[in-house]
Amino acid sequence: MATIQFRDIRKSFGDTDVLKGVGLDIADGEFLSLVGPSGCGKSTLLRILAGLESQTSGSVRIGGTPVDGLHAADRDLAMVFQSYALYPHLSVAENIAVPLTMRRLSNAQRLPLIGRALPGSRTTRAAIGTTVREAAEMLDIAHLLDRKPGQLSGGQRQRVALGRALVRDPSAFLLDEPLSNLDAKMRVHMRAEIAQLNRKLGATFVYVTHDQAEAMTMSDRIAVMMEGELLQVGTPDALYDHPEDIRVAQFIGSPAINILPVDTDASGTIRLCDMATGLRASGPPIEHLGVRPEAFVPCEEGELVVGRVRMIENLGSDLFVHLDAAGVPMPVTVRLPSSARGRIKVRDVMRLTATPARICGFDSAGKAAPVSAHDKAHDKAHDTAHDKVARHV
Amino acid sequence: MSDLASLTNSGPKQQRIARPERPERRQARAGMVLFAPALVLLILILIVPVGVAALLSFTDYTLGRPSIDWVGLRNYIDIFTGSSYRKMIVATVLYVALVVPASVFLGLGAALLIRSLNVGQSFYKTVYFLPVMASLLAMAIVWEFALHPTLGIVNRTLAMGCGTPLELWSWFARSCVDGFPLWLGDRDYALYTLAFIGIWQSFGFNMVLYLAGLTSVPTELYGAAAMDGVKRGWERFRLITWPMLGPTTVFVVTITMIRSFQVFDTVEALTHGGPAKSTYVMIYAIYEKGIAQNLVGLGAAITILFLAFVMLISVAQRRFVERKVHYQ
Repeated sequence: MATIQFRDIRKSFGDTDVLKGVGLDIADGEFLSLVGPSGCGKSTLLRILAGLESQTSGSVRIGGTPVDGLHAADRDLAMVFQSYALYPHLSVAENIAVPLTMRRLSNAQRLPLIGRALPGSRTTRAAIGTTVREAAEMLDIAHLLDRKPGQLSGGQRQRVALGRALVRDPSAFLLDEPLSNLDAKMRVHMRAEIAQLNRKLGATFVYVTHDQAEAMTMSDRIAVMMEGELLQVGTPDALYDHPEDIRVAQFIGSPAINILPVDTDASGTIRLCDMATGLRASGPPIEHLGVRPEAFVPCEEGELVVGRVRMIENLGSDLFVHLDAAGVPMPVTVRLPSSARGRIKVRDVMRLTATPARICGFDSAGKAAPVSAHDKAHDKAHDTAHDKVARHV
Repeated sequence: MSDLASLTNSGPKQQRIARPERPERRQARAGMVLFAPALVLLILILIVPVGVAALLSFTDYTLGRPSIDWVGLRNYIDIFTGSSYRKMIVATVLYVALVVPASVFLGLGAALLIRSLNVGQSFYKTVYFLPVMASLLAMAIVWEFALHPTLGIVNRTLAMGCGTPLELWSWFARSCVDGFPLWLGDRDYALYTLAFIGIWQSFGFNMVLYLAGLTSVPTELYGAAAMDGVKRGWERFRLITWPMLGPTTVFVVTITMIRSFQVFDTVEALTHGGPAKSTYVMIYAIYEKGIAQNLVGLGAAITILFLAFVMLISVAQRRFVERKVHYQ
């Protein structure tokens, strides 16, 4: 069990800066996901933590002790690789036993044939066998112990890789996109199982993924990385409701957040397509508004966005309506309850509003900036302006 | 006859009208047609000559003589009882036993060392591969000069060691007094010298095969091993590299074995099977008996024996591949 601290980690390959000063604290027993698009440096950060690669500068502490320059084998960590990295010539039982034989048996005891005859070797090997069996039973793979990895399905290999990681009871688990080679159904299943494992073992989990859904469903906290920088670290709720950066807002959530390009005039009034929105910037000027698809509510008047329905996606439980809205380059997505089925047709005009609390504002640098409701006086003008737009689209 | 013709002609036709032929059948027939030329060639240039050689091995046939006498197993009995034939088996097996392990492990070692280099990989690859590309016959002449008992660079270099601490080695001290070995001219050294040239010539090829094998070892396995507590290079080699190179090793060993069974050019160029038949290897014996002395029957018998050896290796290799080292 251990805390993990990254201090100003930098890594460059030649002229390319892969990590540009990452600082991150992970609490003991926490499930932290490193999430970001491919090439953002998340796997490199994990490999630096594991000791498989060394940072250009900065330091890593595990359990408060600096581990820089320490061999991967001495860091008391376990890792699950994207390709599972099972030893193909060893049986499942032998695969899971490797971390134990490497640590509990001496060099001489590990020798083939003679090693088995050495004193103490048999009792240690028997103990290892018991531990391996326990780990296998915990993961429900005890019946596969004699097979070779080549004879297993993807999901079973995944479990063997997990077994090899947890058999040694390490202080932290590092998982590098462990579910990306599984089919969709298996992925959802293993997602729940890994999260349960974290609770059961109480160990620190560092989980790297490019799939925001995995990060959202499993993590205590999520760290969003892009272009070698940490953009935001927080709970799934915080990231979803209060993204600090427009890139975080766009990365988290499916379907993606709606980004509306707006202008802020000198008085702080936010205008979409030259029409007042009923919102004002209470901090720096706002350039973009972010509204989650489910934050939109259809309304009769006082709308934020008005547009024509382009496409309706019926998911059974929900309805995703895509609108072409004036002044917004991308189609606006609205999530409506299933009760709205049949009441909206393609080419209908829809007026949408959202409570200011659920609207995120972003300044010219893409950083979060506060947005508040405008005072009443402006509402009248705003309404008539929007009627014009409605007729227009 | 006409009945038969009508049967074979109309039979399939009627069937075709009654029930359209399945595409699999049509494809299978097309496959047979396409594969027939290869089969004919295979039979003509491989199977038939081997069959002829097998038949000839039971005769006393010589080129130009009008009659052939069936001699039964006499040629084979000669091989297994004659002293020069025993020497042939000994020389061949010894040569293979020396060249195969040495060139396989040197090839593996060179491949591992080259892989660990940061710079100069292609330089070393080229250097080690040069002997493979060079004509062995031409190289044999170079070796003949180098190994010349008095003028050769080998003995002259060794002679420079006389009077130095190297004389603590009793063999060296004796050689300084009695003269260094004649190498190719000494029956105690000739085969070993040829084996040395054989190793020198073939390990570069094995190195290239191992380099190819090494690229197919997934690097994530080494990461996994490091996480599992493997720190020393030797453990890493034992846990991952060596097992993962299993298929390559089987292939390399088989190829090297067959190639060293076939050694001929150095023997022909340097020793002619001598001295005292110490380098009288199989292919050279086939050449000497069958071609030089025109004892075709006897040459054929040795050829059949040689083929049996090679077959044995190939079968063993197939078994080994199927049973042990095939993971996927």
